[in-house]
Amino acid sequence: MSTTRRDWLKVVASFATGAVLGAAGGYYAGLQSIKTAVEKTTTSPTVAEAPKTQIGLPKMKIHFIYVGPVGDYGWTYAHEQGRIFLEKTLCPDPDKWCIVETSKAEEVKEEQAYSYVKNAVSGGAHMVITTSYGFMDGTKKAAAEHPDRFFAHCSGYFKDQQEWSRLQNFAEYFIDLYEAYYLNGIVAGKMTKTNRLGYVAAFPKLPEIIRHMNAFLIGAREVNPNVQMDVVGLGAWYAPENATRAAQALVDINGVDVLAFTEDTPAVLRVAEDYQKQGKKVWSFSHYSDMSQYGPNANLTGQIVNWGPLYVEMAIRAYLAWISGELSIWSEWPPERPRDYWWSMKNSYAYYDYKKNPTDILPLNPAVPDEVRKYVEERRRQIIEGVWDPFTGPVRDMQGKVRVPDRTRLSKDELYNMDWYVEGYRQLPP
Amino acid sequence: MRLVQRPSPSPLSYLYAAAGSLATSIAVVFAFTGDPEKSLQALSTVDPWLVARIFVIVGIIAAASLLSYRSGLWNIGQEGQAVVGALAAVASQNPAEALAAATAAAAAWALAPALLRAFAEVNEAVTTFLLSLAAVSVARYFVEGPLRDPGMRGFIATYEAPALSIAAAAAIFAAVLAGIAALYRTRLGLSLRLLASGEEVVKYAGRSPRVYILLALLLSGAVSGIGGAVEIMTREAGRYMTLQQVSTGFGLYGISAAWLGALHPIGSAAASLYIAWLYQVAINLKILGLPAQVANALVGTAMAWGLAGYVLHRYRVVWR
Amino acid sequence: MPQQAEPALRAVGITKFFPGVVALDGVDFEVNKGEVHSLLGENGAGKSTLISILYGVYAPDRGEIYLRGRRTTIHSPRHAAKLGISLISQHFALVDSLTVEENLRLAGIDVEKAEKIAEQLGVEIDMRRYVAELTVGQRQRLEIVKSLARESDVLLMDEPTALLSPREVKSLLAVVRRLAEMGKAVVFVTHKIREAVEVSDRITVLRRGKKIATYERPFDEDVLLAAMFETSVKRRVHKAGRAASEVIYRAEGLRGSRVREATIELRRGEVAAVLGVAGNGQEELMELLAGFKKPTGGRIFLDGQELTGRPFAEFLKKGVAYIPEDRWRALAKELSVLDNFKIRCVKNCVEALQEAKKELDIDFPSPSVRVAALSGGNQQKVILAREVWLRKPYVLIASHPTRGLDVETSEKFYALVRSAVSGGAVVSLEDVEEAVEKADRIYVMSRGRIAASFEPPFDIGEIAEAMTQ
Repeated sequence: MSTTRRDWLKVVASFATGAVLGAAGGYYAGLQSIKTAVEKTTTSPTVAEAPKTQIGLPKMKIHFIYVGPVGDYGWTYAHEQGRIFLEKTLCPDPDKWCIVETSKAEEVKEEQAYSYVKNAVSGGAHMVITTSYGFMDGTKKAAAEHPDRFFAHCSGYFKDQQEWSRLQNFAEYFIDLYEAYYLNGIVAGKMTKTNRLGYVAAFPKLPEIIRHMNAFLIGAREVNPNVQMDVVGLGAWYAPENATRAAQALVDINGVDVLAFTEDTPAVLRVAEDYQKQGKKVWSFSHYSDMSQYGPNANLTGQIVNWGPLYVEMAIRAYLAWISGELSIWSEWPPERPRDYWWSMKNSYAYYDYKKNPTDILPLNPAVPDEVRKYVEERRRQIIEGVWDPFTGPVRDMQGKVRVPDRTRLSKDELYNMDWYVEGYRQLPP
Repeated sequence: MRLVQRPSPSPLSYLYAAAGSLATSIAVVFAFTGDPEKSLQALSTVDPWLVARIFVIVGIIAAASLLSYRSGLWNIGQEGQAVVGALAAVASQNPAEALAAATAAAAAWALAPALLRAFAEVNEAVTTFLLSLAAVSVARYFVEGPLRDPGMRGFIATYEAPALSIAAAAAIFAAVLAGIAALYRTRLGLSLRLLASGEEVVKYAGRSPRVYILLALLLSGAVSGIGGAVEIMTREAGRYMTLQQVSTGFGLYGISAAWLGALHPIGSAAASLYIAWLYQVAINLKILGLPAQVANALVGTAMAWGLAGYVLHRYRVVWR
Repeated sequence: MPQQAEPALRAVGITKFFPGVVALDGVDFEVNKGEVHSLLGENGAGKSTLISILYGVYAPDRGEIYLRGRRTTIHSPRHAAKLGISLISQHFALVDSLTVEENLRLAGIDVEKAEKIAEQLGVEIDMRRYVAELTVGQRQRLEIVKSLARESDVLLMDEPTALLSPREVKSLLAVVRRLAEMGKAVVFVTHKIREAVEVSDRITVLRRGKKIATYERPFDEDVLLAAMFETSVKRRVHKAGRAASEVIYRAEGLRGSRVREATIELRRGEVAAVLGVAGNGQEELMELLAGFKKPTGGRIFLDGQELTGRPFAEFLKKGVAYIPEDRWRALAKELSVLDNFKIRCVKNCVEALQEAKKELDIDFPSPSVRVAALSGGNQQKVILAREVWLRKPYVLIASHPTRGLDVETSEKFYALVRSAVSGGAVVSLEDVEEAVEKADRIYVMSRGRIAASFEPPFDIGEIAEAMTQ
């Protein structure tokens, strides 16, 4: 047993470098070591039934369940890109070098999650990945009923320690963007002339978005204490028309000249670009993927997410657990990475680019002055190295109460449940 | 081509419509899988629990729809009424309370369109539809505020609604159907049905059309509310409402089933079963990786066929 | 008058069948340029059918039409308009929400030309006013101007005075005379002898689809009256005068939207008929009498108890039955015969319906068949069975109860009224003969008023005259 574990360690290490560097040789090296591992391991019954490549590699079926349509900007599109990345990495040659077979179902209603997961399992999937918060309970229920399969759910949580230890075959994962928003905020604070920022938020009371807005505002006020921010809520993740109107109102009525947003389309960036074309300096950002084509002048930078590397890591670990029939490998190992994949910019690498990092910011707009550029780069490096966090105390809320004491940071739970607003908001939705 | 009203309606048209819908569905499945084996798999894989659940939900909302359409009133706000019913269920402690609260809340939700129709002759199709949109905002307010479960930690969702077994839900559905059948045999029910032939006829019968307009729309709303409550309470997991997904889309399925079922309690129950099966086929297709639009369109075509059946039931097509 | 030329429009031997009826039977008719030729007759005499044929709405089954001496087939109203024939009917082709000028433009008419014609005709038209603001007479004159602007030389006017007030009638007749002076050929349809006499150069009388005669000036009103109705104008119908019983139902000075003033009395055991030419307010009067509609003025008493303004349900409770002119007010189209019967029937309805079916000879395959599938006559029988045979009302208010029934069933209806209605009945009719034969008292309605009332022995001549004033 212990020898096998050591072998696994090698496998994952080889993959970590290979996948991360993106070199084709790396993939094959990783797959080669997996092949060795497969040959050494006693396989479980589901592995025996699984299809195999010509060189005897069993293929693990992974099924993705999406809440939205794949063919658009935004959330589901990003996950679909992650799935494609996963397939490219772990199945470069379907007939020979291939260990996964992926499939997907899109536009699934939240209350139907359980039925879809169950159907996928009875359709032969070994691993099911569900990508909407509302799918959580359905996925957990299926996980409890099918201990021989693997399940991963995006953006949820474990209710308590008991649930965590009960659902050995279930993982939670997420890639958080608050650090990227913080870096955007620094740029915004330096670029604003009116000292007024605007934020168009899908759901301004959602803790995830509160976190993003707070981080953005902290970044801006760190470099420019006079900055204030106005927020408009939309009530939907996808609402380009309302987002456009909200952004215009923020600029025309509130005098905002930097617009941040959390909405699934480039609508807000487009509004900023329109003002730029009219000669008015209004700035905005990309969200989730590179949107600079919609605002070549107005796009200052923006937060980027690549789910691919995370999916590759989860898939390899599930695969190794699967062929060895040993669930604990998935659950316990390596110990510094629990089954709670809460990734953020700390999981990125300072030395490579935004196209490969799980999350990063886009290269800055040429209009950003050099000294700002330097400062942002320094903060970015500190965050990636783990020596700096946007929510480092002291942080006060709107009422002036200290929420993060001096020289401390927030725990994951506190970040996840954030329901308070930092100093500096001028207008918040009711 | 034009339509000529039939002196006596042809009930056969609904059989044609059902057959047409079935044929379309099978053709669509074959066209998109391009593989007889896969098609067969998509058409024959059935999760009895899922189908039973959808059947009951769609059936109850179909019953709600026919309560309105049989009185010549166009309630198309079942979706909103169901959302309000589900909210009431979420706010309740036990199934009985949940059902009672859902009935009352959804009836209250239908009250405004009913009053406007009865006393100001404001078109109820417009008002019920608009209130359907409003229901989403109202529900979001409750999800964010009064009904938000703090135990959900970093996510905004309501408390869990009490659980209801499928058997109990089926019993409720049966009771609704039996209730409608019994109601329509009474004098009260006769007056409700008279309304479909015009308010003058109700007045002629010596009754107040307003009372029956109110009654028909409130009953329809109340039963939609029961449908919404049953939907959220019979979920196997996640019996709560989230901020993103307030509305479930069963309102439209219920309306389709009512039309396809010739606005008859038994007919619409049969149509609901058919739509539940289509729902299952749509899931199967999505799991096979087909575009979601195709799968979703299957239920849409059933609705189109249902309306075609209704038109052919009353009109003859003359080619000239 | 230039009589020598070919008539502007000539119809020869026009015959038209409708299912079961000969609507027109070999009618000859002609109208010259510069002439007003009236078509006079009772309701159902065939005037409207003839007009419809001349305007291309129906094709005649036999007969020929000559336009300015040339044999012509008129295919459709649009064709008729192209041939220079226009129709001024009671339904105006005007859009209420537009101004007069906009309406003219909409109809593709040159506004200046229309203004000139209006001046020639001596009518005043304010171009900027909305049609909704115009009186009926003004709208009618606008229609006349429209047809002249379209260069029509034959004008068909179908009961043009029916909707007008007396003053408006006068100015219309003047306009019609002016039209003739302008050289137009005018066909003037009316049932009112006085109007015909005043405006016409010639009068043709139709009765039951047949042409009786064409008369030239000077006209003798008695002769015209005789021609319109039976030959024996002076015939008095002697009826055994019933012993005067007490008044059970009384409506005093009723007013509504089309009823201006109506007082009606009904005595126990009586059948009272309300006679009048269609469109004179009888239908609304029946609605008011039955309590189906609330009057804007006047009072209603039943057995001395005032019922004015009470809901219809209370009239029902007091034993009033109402048979409306519109069948679909009394029958639910969407429901079965049995369900329709249940509108009044409370128990043993299937048996009762089967009995009624036998009694009144109603033809339907089963009680569950939809009532809309029945023939019109059978639908009427279902209503009679339910309202009279089943309910045995105290007072019956019936609008055209025998319309669509064969003679035998009509007889049965009156027998049923005599046997089943315990109080009395008010029946609105359009056939003088039927009223004279069946009723104990006759009210004549004209322009929303009860113009006269008659008691036996009836003088058809007097009644007819009251109707045609």
